[in-house]
Amino acid sequence: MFELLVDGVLQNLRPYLLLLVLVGTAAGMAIGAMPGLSATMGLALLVPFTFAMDPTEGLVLLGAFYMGAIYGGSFTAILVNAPGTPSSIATALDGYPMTRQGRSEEAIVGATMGSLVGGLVGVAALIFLAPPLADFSLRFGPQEYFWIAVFGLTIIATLTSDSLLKGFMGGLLGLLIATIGIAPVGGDVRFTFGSPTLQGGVPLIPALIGLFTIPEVIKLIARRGREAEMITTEKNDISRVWGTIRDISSRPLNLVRSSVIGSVVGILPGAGGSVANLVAYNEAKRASKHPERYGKGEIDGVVASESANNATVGGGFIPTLTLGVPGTPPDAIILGVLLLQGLRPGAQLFETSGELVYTFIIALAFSAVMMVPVGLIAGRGLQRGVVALPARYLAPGIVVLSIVGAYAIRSSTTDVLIMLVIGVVGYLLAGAGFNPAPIVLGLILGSIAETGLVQGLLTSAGSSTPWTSFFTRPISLVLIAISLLSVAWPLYREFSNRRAAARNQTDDRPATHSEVD
Amino acid sequence: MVNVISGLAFVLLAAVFWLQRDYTSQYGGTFPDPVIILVAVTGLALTVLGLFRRQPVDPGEQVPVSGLVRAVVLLVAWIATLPILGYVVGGIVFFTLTALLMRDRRPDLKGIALDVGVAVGVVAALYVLFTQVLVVRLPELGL
Repeated sequence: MFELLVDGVLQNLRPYLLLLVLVGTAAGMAIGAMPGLSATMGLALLVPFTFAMDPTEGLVLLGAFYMGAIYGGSFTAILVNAPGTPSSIATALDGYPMTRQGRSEEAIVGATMGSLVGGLVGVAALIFLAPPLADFSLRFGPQEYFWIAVFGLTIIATLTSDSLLKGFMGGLLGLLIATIGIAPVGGDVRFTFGSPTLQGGVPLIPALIGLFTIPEVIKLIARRGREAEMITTEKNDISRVWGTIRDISSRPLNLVRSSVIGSVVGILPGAGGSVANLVAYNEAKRASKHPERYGKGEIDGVVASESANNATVGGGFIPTLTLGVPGTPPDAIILGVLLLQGLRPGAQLFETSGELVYTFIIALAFSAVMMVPVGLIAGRGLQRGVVALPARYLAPGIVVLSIVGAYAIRSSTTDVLIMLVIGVVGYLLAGAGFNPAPIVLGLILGSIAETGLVQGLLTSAGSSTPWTSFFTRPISLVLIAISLLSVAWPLYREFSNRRAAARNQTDDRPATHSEVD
Repeated sequence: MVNVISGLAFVLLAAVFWLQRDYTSQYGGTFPDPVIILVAVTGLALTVLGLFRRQPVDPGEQVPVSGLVRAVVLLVAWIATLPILGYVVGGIVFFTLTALLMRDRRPDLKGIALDVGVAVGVVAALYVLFTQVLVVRLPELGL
């Protein structure tokens, strides 16, 4: 394997392949930065171009594009609160508050560093852990997927710092919206209110753009400008970049933990970056000494989210290359290209086409490294442009892009209308203290939870008590324990903080009395 | 009061979904039914909490009502006319309108020309990028 790895590195040092990695990474970043244009859509557009290429070159271009697209989603999440891809939802939670505080450049640097480390850890996992982890992921049945969705929903307890009840209500609203349309198992047409357009359900991307972007546009237009802090021009000072890098490097555990989470979640088919970034954010907040800063502009939140989503790129290729089971939709497209080129995934792929496979894997690592200079130049340039742009052009500019994002998925103006309706409702809900993140989380996890639940019941239909199958399988039990811990930990932390505050007040009281006396 | 209204809105939403239930398969309601019930229960809980606890309003997040109406009317008109005006015409018209309405002072002719120019430039550039380079379809003029 070592020889193949060295050969992969040497192959990638060829000027033509280096150029392909650079072009793929930059193009992926550009697509990822546009709300609504996902990595999957970009890859699908790129596939025809690879037909004229040698299989290695085509795969290298696609891999670099994918890595860049996942990173590119962070730009708009940070700058205009519009996650370019669902993988950047958690990035917006702290990235946009940082922009509002005039710290957008710091957030871009954090996202770049997180993406670099996440991308490299994901590739390392792909190289060294592919076969054993792929076998393990096959032990996950419907019951386990149901519990994974439940675990994902417990993140709401961390995402909502103000009101736990409103957080759960938001999550339930997301789950309810997810039930609209044709049921994932059984095919029931539900809650369409007589509209055939709703049979396909509420699409995620228009909902995402609506919930995160439209409320900000409404505020910009209503106030005829942005908050004073947002237009604070940051000095073009390279020492600030190094300062941010040093600051993030002083907490390597956050980078490593989030990258490992991303790699592991990426392995599970169907989960991917959209779940990984939220799980990593949750864990970063839980492990932090200052969880109260999350959601208000904490750079570690941005780093955690971006490390995890880029780590899913490598992680997702583990089942794709070893089992032929794509971990994420973009993996499915790349798997299709592999099959088109006559390559069959499996353990033998690493032996029969080792040179090609390792060149592709190393190209992913090269792309992760390439993201740093390209991202820092393009990302900081974009940041300066957005900050300098007058609000009267920024607001309609965001709407023009949002319309493309919502429309492009199904070429439907109804989807644009759905985006607007959800956006206005999201604005009203935000005014009432509801955070949009739990709603999106419910929307993403709804179909995973329902599919797991119904398929689990169907597979245990022979038993007199099919429900018990959800509580007797070993991996399910572990996931239940993790979910309970995930809910209990923030509650315990809040309880102990309140007790400590009460104790401090009691300690202060006698001194005050004596002064009065 | 905000919590009471929000809680009641959730209860109403749950009621609307409950009345729409019309499952044809055995497991059609296995997942949605508990979700609807939980939406109603948490909505009731928020209503009750709202009756006994006042929610502080963050003054920094408040926006003028006239501005809010202006924003929503602009966006609704933009999206509603999209199937008729298409991406390009609708985009130029509403981009310009938004830019003009967001000005602090009444614009002079030069200011109007600048806003129209920016609108045409941005919308045309995006249209060409998406339809010609990225082969993404966009709403066409329906007149």
